[in-house]
Amino acid sequence: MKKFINNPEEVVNESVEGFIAAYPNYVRKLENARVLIRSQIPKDQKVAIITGGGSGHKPAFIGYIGEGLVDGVAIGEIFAAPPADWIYKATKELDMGKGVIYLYGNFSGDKMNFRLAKTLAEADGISVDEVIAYDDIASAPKENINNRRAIAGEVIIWKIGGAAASSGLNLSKVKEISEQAVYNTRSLGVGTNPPIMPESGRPGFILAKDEMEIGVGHHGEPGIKKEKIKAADEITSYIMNRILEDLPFRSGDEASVMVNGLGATPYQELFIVNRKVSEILSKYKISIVITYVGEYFTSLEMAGFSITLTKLDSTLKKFILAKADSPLFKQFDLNK
Amino acid sequence: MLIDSINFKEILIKIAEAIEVNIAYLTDLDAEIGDGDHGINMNKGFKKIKEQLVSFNVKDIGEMLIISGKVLLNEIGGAMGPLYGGGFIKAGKMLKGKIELDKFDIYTLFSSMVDSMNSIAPAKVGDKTLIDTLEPFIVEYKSLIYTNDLLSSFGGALAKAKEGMESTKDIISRVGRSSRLLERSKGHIDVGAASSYLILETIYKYLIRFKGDKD
Repeated sequence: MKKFINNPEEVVNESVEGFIAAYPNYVRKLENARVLIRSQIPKDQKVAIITGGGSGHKPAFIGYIGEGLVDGVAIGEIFAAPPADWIYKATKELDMGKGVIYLYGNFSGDKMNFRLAKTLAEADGISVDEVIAYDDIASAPKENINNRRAIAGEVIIWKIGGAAASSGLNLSKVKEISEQAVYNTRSLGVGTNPPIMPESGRPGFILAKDEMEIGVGHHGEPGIKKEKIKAADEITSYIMNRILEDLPFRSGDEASVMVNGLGATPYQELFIVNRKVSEILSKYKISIVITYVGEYFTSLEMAGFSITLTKLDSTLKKFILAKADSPLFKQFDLNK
Repeated sequence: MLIDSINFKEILIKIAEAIEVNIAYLTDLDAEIGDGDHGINMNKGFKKIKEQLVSFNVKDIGEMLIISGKVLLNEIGGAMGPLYGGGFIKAGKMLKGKIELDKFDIYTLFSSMVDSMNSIAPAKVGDKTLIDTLEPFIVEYKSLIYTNDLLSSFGGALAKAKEGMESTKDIISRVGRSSRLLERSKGHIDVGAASSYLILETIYKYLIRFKGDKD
């Protein structure tokens, strides 16, 4: 294992400390929990957005704490859900009287802990709701859509849900819009090299040198199948076909695009992928509202990428184009 | 045979040590169809329990379970935090005030643990989870305790737990992270079933060693 770490057991703590040192104007840590929240909570009351999950996904989750995105993050161990107690403490700290919404990914550990936290917070009289992302089409057939896991589509849900909360909408409205974002988002990824778990020094999955895992999850979970690696255009076309037919997307639709690197794939290759994505969308007469190419939700040093498309109606379009300002995601208000 | 506070503390410490020794085994099982973090997080949790128990002098076994459960629930997270943590707390509440456990208390401990797990994430035998180990254990143990002593009941039930764990190898998983793999999950033992078997086996080994002076 070649990693720049000190004590393998302190990887998450030390990384969080370095993050706070880099962005003291954006985030601060709660005292008795590994939770980061916005250093300045907005003065005008709004619905608070909380997320969380396992570590190892930078810029997710803590990179998205800021205006127009999420207000607080409970930080778990590498690839493992944060404890309910921390999510509860984040909820207590961030409730501004307008309620709290949990926007997180569909994983059994996260669900157990977020739901326990919700029960605890509700006992204190805080209104809490949740929207769970399930964008990875590789992880279950469409008939069983609620069993799908989340991958990079979560970032789009935070972007849209976060902007909706920032605009002053109430809890039920923020929930409705976030659910619309989930419903209209589809992703599919491919992995070529596993992440190495810092504490064990072992790979998260095993793949032959010339193979790729189609439908790989954000923790290295196996997906649809293992295959010999293909050229960028060929695998991109396969992924795009699967995504387009799943929603389905139709000609005349407006959509956002995210080509997300999983940690060890160069931007150069991500742009080669995006070249094909835009060509395919243009062929199907689907217009691109905004494109994000880069590392938005990684899996340690996993190599590979995912593509996420979100179908946008006028409401979702307004919120995806709204201003966002967090340590690792900044966007001007593009509605103007 | 009775298990007193000192024995119980030693059992929890033995479990922590058994998990530490088996990190690689559990992690590799998890890497085949999960995400490879199970052994690491279980180890982190039980290591903290060990630290807590060594520094505290608690006689009440129920309290010991509650303290241990809170460590898992509040500091570990993952799926195992709520499952084992909630399970320990529920069992601790049921056994509150006890300074020694008889064979019926051991039944209460495991059955209330499984009740708690089922209330958090319902699963039944055949779903390829830790329930495939624990449920057959409890059923067999209950049928044995009325006519057998603690040790032989536990031993008989452990054999069923082992069969249950091994049966997960041929099951297509329906619950949890590996459930999305459908037929690809076949051929691998569920890591939760494996770690819960490891816990039961560790307890049994401890009981055998102490049989002599406890009968």
